[in-house]
Amino acid sequence: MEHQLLCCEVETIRRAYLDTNLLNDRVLQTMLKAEETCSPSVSYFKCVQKEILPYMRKIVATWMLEVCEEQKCEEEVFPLAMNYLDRFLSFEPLKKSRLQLLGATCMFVASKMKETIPLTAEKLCIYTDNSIRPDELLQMELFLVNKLKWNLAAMTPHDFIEHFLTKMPVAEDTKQIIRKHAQTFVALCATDVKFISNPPSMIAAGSVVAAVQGLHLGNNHTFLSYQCLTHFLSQVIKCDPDCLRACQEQIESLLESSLRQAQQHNISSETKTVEDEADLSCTPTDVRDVNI
Amino acid sequence: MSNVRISNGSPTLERMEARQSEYPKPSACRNLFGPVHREELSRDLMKHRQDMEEACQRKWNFDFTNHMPLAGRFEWQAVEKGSSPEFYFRPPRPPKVACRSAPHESLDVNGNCPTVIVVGFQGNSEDAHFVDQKTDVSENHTDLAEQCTGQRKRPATDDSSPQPKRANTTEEEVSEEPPSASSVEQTPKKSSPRRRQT
Repeated sequence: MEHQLLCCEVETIRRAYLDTNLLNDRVLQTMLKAEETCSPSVSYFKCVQKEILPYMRKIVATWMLEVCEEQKCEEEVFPLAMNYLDRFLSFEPLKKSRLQLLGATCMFVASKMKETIPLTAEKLCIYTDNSIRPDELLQMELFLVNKLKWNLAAMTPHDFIEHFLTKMPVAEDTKQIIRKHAQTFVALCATDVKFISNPPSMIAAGSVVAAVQGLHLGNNHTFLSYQCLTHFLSQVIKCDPDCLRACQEQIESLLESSLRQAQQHNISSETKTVEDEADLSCTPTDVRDVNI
Repeated sequence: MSNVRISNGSPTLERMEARQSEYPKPSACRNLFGPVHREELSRDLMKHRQDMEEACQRKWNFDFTNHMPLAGRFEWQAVEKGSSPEFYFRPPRPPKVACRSAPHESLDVNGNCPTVIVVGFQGNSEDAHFVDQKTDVSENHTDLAEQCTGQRKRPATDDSSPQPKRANTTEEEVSEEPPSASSVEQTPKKSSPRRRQT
């Protein structure tokens, strides 16, 4: 029996258990403080970048998400990679032709931070259609981590979602559904420039509210009612309930416009990217069910 | 048996299910913003690296290229070979085979420069010594080949379904499989636990 157990573990990916000792208020307070130190500058398109425009961030983000999806990366890898990308661009003007190199490098590092078996440099280069080479990626990696001052363990909205769910008096299976949908919203937010200014805790709270709303879970569960939940979460992250509502509405309208775009360009070649974006988490039907 | 593995908080349970191949789909392999100017890029990256090295040299008053201390606020001192943790003496993990094509042999696949680790330094003393980490990288080459071509985690179920159980297979039997392409693909994870023991 022991032998069987061993084999089983080797066959599958090992993940750490969620440590309930770390899902407490002290840790949450520290996280709320720490997230400020790893936040990008909101105005880097205006103040730092000369060639890079917001729509290019969208293009590279959509591609990065597609790669993370296809490589079945852990959910956190994509938002973490986007955090690196935004932070790098907050300091360092970059040529447009190197933006994809930066995006690949950010995934490379984020994957190492979060995954048992990280993405390889070679694979990432293939995804750029071999427009970059592994050695360039590795040199860029050194440059990136140096620019980020090796401060790589940035908070992601996912870290906060676990804390929120722990605090919510809701059945475990309901939590699982909320988690899944909220994570989809988080990935969607990471692709959109408008959300750079929101700290991860806000994105996380907004995504949880949007998920609960979209799933109509508030109808027969008092705690999950809109008023109650926004009040609760805004207290947890210590923000104004109106800010949280604004964020959540922004998320909902982003989802709506992404879905609309996906439907409009159904035949055009652009469809692919937009649809994939709505496809986050490979739960397209669920996502649609959320709002429509 | 299956409950051994994943924490209930793991969000990715569903993703264990069958999905498209792990190999890049052509549609996802694309160049987004046109060609990269190779020489210019390599020049710029080299420049950044030099800047970093100079900054480090200033910060630690140590010449990392020649492994010599410089004058400054830090006083460098040699230590006995056995007195520092084994970690500092252990040879580095050998570079991955697939990356040999890269022209910059000064970086391994993890972006590490195979630099000489300075354990200590003390004036002109004879027993000042450095550990040259460049030595011995040939061990476990097959493992590395496996790693390079290694599968990503969460294998699609169509890969793993024919042989879900290894209960009666001993570790030896598994590792004795010839390193053909297919076995490399199927047993990539063997390499990491074994390598750690070396």
